[in-house]
Amino acid sequence: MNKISSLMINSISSIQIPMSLQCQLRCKYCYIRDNNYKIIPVDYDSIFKVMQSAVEFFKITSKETSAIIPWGAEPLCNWQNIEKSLRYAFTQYPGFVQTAWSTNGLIAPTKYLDFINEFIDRIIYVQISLDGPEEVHDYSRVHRDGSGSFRQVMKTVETMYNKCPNLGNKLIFKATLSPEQLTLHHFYKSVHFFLTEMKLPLDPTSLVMDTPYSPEAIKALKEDLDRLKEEWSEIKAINKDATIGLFYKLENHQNPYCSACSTQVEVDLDGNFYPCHAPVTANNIKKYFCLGNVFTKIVNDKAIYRTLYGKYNANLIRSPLCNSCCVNTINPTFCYICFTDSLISTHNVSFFPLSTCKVKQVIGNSFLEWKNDNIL
Amino acid sequence: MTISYEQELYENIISNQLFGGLELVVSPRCNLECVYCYMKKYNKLDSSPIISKTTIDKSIEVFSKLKKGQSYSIEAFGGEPFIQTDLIEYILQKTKNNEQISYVLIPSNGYYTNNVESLLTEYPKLQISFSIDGIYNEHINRPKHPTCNKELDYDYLFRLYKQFPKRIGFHPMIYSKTVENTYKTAVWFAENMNNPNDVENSLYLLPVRNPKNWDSNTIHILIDELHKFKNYCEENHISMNSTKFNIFRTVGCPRGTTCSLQTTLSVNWDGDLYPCHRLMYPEFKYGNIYTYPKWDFNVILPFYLYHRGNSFLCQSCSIQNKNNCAGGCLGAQYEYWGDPFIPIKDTCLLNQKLATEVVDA
Repeated sequence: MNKISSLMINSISSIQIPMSLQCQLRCKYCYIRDNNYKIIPVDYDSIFKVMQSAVEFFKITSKETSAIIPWGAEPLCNWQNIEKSLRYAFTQYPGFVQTAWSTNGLIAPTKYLDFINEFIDRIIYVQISLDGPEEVHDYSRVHRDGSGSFRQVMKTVETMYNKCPNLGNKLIFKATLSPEQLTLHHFYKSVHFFLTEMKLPLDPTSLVMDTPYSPEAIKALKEDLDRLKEEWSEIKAINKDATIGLFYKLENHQNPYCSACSTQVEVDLDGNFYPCHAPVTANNIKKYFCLGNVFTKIVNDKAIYRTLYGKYNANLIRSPLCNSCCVNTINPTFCYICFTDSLISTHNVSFFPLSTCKVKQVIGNSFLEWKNDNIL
Repeated sequence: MTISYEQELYENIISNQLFGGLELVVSPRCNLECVYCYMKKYNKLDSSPIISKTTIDKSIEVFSKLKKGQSYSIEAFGGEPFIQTDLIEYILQKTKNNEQISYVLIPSNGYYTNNVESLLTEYPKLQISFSIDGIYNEHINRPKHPTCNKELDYDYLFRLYKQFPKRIGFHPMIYSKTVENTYKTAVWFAENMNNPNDVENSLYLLPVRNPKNWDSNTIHILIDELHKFKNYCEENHISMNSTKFNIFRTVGCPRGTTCSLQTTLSVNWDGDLYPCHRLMYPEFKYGNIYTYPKWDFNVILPFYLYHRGNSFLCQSCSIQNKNNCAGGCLGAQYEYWGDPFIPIKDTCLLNQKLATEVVDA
């Protein structure tokens, strides 16, 4: 193992494991493009074997705090085995082991809620995917039969607020909109929903970044931002802390880099490890990002180098276009784009669909307009 | 009809005056098996694919339209293009009276020269760059395929050079296995060309940039050899200022790559489009000449917007700061890393040594 690989491996304190490869939903924008990765049963022995080997290989429990993260498809589809694994990690491993997970929020069984309450101090966050009001959410987040999931999710949200009151700010939401949804003005509807109906201080609406945006989608986004601007005083009257998430990120986002390879890796059930979860279910990029194996303890120095190179250099390649961009003057770190997304969408770890630049420019220009008009 | 941002950007790049080349990769067919060749994997001898006249026509039609009336050149790349003399003549006929096309360049290994003299006479736009490595290296670097019984006639090639001034050049590769012959090879070319005022324009010395080609020992030998040739040039009043003689001068190329990838549309024998002839891999195919504008611009734009100094590593490199880096070959980098934009360490070392010990010396 060379020096770069050794430094990378020593820096890992968090391990993500695909503890559930089943999901009830077939969301239109899901980055798990191959539905076969949503129907695989995962047993406890498989999870345990990977967890033990990964913990040992990365020596994560020797760190002051560490994390073992169950990752899906949908964790709740295999909660029994996940709970057993996490309970083992919390009670048997030295150090302070934490966890976090994202869920589609379809169900919240009692055992699950009890676990949250029992280990509340170990939980970093529980993230529920909620795209906005029923019309918006049910556009993408659908069951196999095409029916929407909004009502089930809202029921879960209510249950969690009631049964896990200590979760507080650790219960977070994530909304994702596709380019197609922008043309349907879902951005306005989503932001409005989170700020006026859910009364969240910060709307969690985000946009997919691995797909090109049509001129129509970009135009619709601008129209939605203009409409929100017109209605901003009314929104503020309902929710005085209301903040548009994308503006917040634009102004405050400081670290352009995610946790991939810096503090966290994903280890699949075969023991192969990757910078993050994306390659595990994307056959076309698996080989590129396979950094080694925790069972055989073989490390691919070349793959680690090129992954780190791609991650830390990807967003510099855009600079020929950046000089005249407003986002670059406000906060260039807002432009960071996931390097695995880049490889999937452009066959190139150092690049991204360029129309996402246009989207960010629209956000940047609107932000400046709002500022100039003293709305922000 | 609205067009995508990517298409708009692509068309702006192509219509830029600097974007001046259409490369037709006519066929991979070749009679040689050069040790450093990256095209030989496609060579199936007389079963090799060959570009059709229709594809040639379509390529010229589409590119002319994209160029919006600006002039450009055509390069017919191989394999050995002159094996398909009829197609080369077709391109020459097609372009002879086309005012938009300034010249047609054929890189050739010099073995198929039967009609070359008459073509050069008949078609003033024809230029040829002979890829020959010279008497000391040819048999090592550029072995013949067993089925080839032709011989290289150096005298004839140098006679053509003198007969058609400014239209013939030589393009020897500097390869690590024969690096100790660099000085005498360069002198051999200069003496045969016998024109001190033109050597710098017609002799293009290019180091092979394949992975695992260079190490500190072979780079050291190369530096010594180039110093000797530099002295020879000074003694013989051979200028070293031409851009083609860039092994001896500050690179200073304003493009992101010092090769022609960012200024050339490359079309292969099937009409398929790739960033360049070395990057003909499925993941980099962005369209077919017949299907414009239904091309995947997201695949090609990264290559056009890339700059060789645009990474953290490069920004802290002394030669990049002086814009002295020749960069690497994106195809070679892809073959080594599985990523076209990561420099190969050996090539970085070569570039650093050339920049500091030859160019700056």
